Amino acid sequence: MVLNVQLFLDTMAYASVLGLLSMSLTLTYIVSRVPNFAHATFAAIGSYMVLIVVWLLGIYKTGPSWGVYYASLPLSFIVVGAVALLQYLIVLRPLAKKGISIDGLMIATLGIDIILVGLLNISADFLEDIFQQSPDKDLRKLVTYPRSGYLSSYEPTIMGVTASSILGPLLLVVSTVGFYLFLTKTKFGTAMRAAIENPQLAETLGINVNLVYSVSWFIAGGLAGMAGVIMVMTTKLNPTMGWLLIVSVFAGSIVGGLGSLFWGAVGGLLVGFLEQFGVYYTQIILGALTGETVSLGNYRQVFSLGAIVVMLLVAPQGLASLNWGKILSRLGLRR
Amino acid sequence: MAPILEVKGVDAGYGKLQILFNVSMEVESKDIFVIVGPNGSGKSTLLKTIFGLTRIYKGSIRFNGEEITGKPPHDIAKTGIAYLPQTDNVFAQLTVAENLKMAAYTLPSDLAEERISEVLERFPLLKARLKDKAMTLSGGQRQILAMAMSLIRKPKLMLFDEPTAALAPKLAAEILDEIIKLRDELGITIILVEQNAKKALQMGDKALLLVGGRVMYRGGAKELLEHPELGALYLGLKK
Amino acid sequence: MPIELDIGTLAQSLAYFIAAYTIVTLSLNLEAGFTGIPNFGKHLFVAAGAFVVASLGNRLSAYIVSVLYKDEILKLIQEDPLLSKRITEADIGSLWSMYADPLGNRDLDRIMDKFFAQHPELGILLFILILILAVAIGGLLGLLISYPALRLRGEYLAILLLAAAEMVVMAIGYYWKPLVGGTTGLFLPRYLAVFGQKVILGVTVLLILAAVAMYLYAQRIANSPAGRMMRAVRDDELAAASLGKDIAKVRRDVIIISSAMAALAGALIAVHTGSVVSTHYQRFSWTFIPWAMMIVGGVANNSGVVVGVAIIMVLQKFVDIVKPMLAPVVPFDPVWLYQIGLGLVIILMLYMRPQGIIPEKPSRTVNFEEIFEDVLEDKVEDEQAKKMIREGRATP
Ligand SMILES: Nc1ncnc2c1ncn2[C@@H]1O[C@H](COP(=O)(O)OP(=O)(O)OP(=O)(O)O)[C@@H](O)[C@H]1O
Ligand SMILES: [Mg+2]
Repeated sequence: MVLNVQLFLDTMAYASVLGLLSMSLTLTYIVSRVPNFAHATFAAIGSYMVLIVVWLLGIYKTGPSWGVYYASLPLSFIVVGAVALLQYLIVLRPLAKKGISIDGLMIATLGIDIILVGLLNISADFLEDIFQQSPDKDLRKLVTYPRSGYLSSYEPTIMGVTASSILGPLLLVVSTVGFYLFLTKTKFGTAMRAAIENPQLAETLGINVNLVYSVSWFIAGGLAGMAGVIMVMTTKLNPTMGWLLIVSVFAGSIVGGLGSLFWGAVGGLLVGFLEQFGVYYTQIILGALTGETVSLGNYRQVFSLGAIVVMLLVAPQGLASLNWGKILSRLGLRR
Repeated sequence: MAPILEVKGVDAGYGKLQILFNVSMEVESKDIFVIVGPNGSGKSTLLKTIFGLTRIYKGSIRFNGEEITGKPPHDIAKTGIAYLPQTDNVFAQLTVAENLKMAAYTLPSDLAEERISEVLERFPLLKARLKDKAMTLSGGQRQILAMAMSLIRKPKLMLFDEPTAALAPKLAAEILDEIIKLRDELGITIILVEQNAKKALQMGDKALLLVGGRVMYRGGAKELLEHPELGALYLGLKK
Repeated sequence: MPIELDIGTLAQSLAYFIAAYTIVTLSLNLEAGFTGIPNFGKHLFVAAGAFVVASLGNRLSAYIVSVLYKDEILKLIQEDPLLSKRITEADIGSLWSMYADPLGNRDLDRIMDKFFAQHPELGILLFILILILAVAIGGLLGLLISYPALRLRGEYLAILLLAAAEMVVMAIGYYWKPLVGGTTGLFLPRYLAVFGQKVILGVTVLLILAAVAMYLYAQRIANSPAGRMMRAVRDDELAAASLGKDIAKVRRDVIIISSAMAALAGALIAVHTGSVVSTHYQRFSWTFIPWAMMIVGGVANNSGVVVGVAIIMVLQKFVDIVKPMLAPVVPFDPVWLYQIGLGLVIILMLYMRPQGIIPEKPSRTVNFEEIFEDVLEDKVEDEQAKKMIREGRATP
């Protein structure tokens, strides 16, 4: 089968997650000029919010429910937004003010990642304890979830399609369009662009640059947290689930050029599709060659790494830097 | 009459790196005050120091009798001082209209609109370019935009850092004329750092010569222009 | 709860960790500290050494032994009631392929262990061969990485290296069993049967010797003309342009040497542990901790690195000791506190003392005249020409 509908739907969820993550990572990079290696773990925190919602709202008893989304999307937006804000205010801003080199700032973000993963591990230990000692038989079944839970069994479907396949793209489109409107149509959004381009000038005009940057970090964290909610529907919950995912997220941002939110979203989407379909077709080809069933899902990041290498060596400024008018006319799509 | 700006014995610099040494100056209201000196002598640093963008180790700066030493730039902006940096004085990625809007950021919206249309009357060439990104403007137009942006807050004192750098001579002269008009028509006090010492000293009232972060001359602008040694020694002026 | 403290074991394990981390952190310091190449994928190079030992080394030695000593091996198999059931004479030629699955791995190691017990000298030879192989492949990997490394800006390179490392370790290492047995890992035969029961002590001593040698080597590089040049370029972008070609070559050499050093450490760690599991070569252990050690001890200072390694390793051992005491008190595994603590230490260190405990010696940094002289000495033969260049009458 050349086109596979279910694969396409799964990919929609996964690729929009990457789109959201690459876009929000790009936002933090534009603001602070440091690649945030903790960004994928932001998403992991969002994923844990789903488990907490499943537990506290009793969804583990009732089965699939929209409550999963109603509650965890806003919750993760706020919680992870706050985490990102703290990272900026407590760690990155003071260090940058002290004139610490970019290497120092990057290692600081690795340090934050370690701290966050440590906190997730502690939470996982806690949750395991709570679930295990619960008198509630259904809750006891959740005991393995904090370290390897498949939460997709609690998400509702719309006409047979899992909600994440629809909510993911929806969230991506809404946040991209929303960002666009916010940045171009509102005074604060314009101030945000101004402060990012030239903080010193913005400061002299009375724009509170620190507030603008703080808001950016909060929104970026919030988006990453919401991405985590969708993400956990496509993968297994684990405290270190961000460690490999970061490869795909950076791939998306680099494909987009690390300079524009829109292209960050596009880059993430493309990388998601590249991974999923790359794996799918490679499996088919290898399967035909060897006569055995080949399963390569675990190696999807090979395609991301390839995208990073090719992009950095061929067009280091990303897709955003290409002359699209020229390309389209070359392809005969535009005169 | 008391001077509008008074700098007294200021030592300042970047981090631990001291650039200015015991600098003092007094600027009278509605004067054009010219700062000249060789490259790297600290002229820009002096302007930045007045505007609160450097570290001040010693001394004091008073504006309109009010102590502004050590205040953050956005507070100093509120007291009525505008600063036009040497480079990057507009937002290149924003449109002209957005640049003006940002310049009026702290004003209530009806007042902001009023002020924006005022400066557009003053600089009609900007009116035609409102929707264009600032990076598409020519160097001279950018200086005009930067000037318009500072005027929106109706400053009493404007600090210009080499507004004519990298401009063709004719354009440079136009910009300097605009600056004189700001003083004559709006009564704004001007502090001007200029590469072209001769032109600047001709149009200036008072002047300060800075060498290696230290004041070498302070007094009338014409006198410096006619000084037997200083001009030739530091400013490349013919005797 | 009583704690049993075996000072001997503790000291030995501390020495082992300090030696292993010294090699890795010295290599990181050559790249990141002296040369400004932010290697955020250090664990890839440590893992490379270990993976070469477990995948290539194991198979190669099994192959060599089964070809050269076919009869002896056959005898060993037939003497063993268990093995003789599973392995026949026809399998001898393909013994090496038994490393593909865990059971085969066990069986083969049993044969190899017995064989090396009888032929310790051959074990040593193969051990050396494998070590050379690991170092060489580590160096090749460095050469490969040097291509992007010479072209990319710092943060892009950091992203690329981290991504490559996560890919190899967490995807291929975890899931592609033929490499190093996935998350269950591969066991190594006892190459160093000479040490008898004291294998671990023996390898620890080897590691210490290697660490000392690497320290002296790193010191030599740091104080050489090339080392001075690297620091100058790290500190001054403009200088890089004027010294162009030489810089690219020195940078490439630094990456190759550092990668080979990390691979050497990885290989020795594998032999020390007697097995290789990809989960042991994660970002935290072999990228984050070496960076932490370098920053705590002193960036661009080899003695500082040793101090940083010692401090953090002692800290880790301390945590290991108090862990059993803490475990009943806190409702989670105390090891997470250690990780969180290390993260905090790094951030606080960057904030309060970014130059580290023992800062870089200023007297030995940027001195362009000295560098200029070095280059001149190197490149220009003719004394007369040298004089002209020095006086600015000719360009090099
Ligand atoms: N942000 C900064 N951080 C550290 N040092 C600086 C900074 N800006 C300028 N300097 C240094 O301060 C000294 C004075 O610079 P400044 O720009 O004030 O001179 P200038 O008189 O304006 O020169 P020019 O005519 O070239 O504009 C120079 O040595 C310069 O290198
Ligand atoms: Mg200047």
